[in-house]
Amino acid sequence: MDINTEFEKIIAESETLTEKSKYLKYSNLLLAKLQARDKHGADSPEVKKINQELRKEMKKLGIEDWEIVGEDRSPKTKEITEASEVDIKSMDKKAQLSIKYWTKLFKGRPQTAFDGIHGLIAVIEASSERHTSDTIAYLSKGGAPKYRWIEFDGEVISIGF
Amino acid sequence: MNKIETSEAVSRTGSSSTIDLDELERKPRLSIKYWEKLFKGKAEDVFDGIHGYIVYIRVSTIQKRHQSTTFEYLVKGPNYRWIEFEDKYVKIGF
Repeated sequence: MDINTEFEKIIAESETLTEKSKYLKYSNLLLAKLQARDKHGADSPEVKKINQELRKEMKKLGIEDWEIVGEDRSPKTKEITEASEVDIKSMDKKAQLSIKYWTKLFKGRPQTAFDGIHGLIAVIEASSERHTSDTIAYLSKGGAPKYRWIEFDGEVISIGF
Repeated sequence: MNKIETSEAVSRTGSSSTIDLDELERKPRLSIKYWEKLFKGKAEDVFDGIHGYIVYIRVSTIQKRHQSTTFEYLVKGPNYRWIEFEDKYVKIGF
């Protein structure tokens, strides 16, 4: 390999490195956010602080919200704005237990979950469109998980909590 | 299931039309009024069936999202058997 070829190779490598290092802080923040969420919960001040940093970095890099988790612009994502899809298994224990409770209550199965600016959203596919008074009563019982709202779209139920 | 129950309800009354709200007894009328206020809608159809009454409440806008307080008031309110939520209607069997 002559000196010119070697020099070109070094230049090419350094350009790649600059491109990669541009996203280094962003990826580090994403990782820190995930760890903080597992450790302290989605609504913790630690996560909120990282989110602020993350938004600054995203603005700097010109990344939009939906690009955080590599989501596409499907109608579902557009419908629930400012929320990114999360794996239910990666959610904290309390959230998972809440989803389990509602899944059992509506005799359905969990479809997906979103982590939004106002809290979490669970999407459950229920077994029926018709809900008995007992089911509704169990929603508001003392020991039941707290929620903010419920959306009924046929057999698909979205719960914001 | 919904359609079957509604058709059963209509056949019981002996006509293809629904029953008039004014024909109802005071108790079911008050229940309907409560749900109308709760869901900010208007009762359009009432069926008198073999299992009881069914009311179709038309809500003012396409209302899919309901606050937790709405359900708390629903539980505290008149007894009902089941509830169904559609885009423009809330159907209640009681």
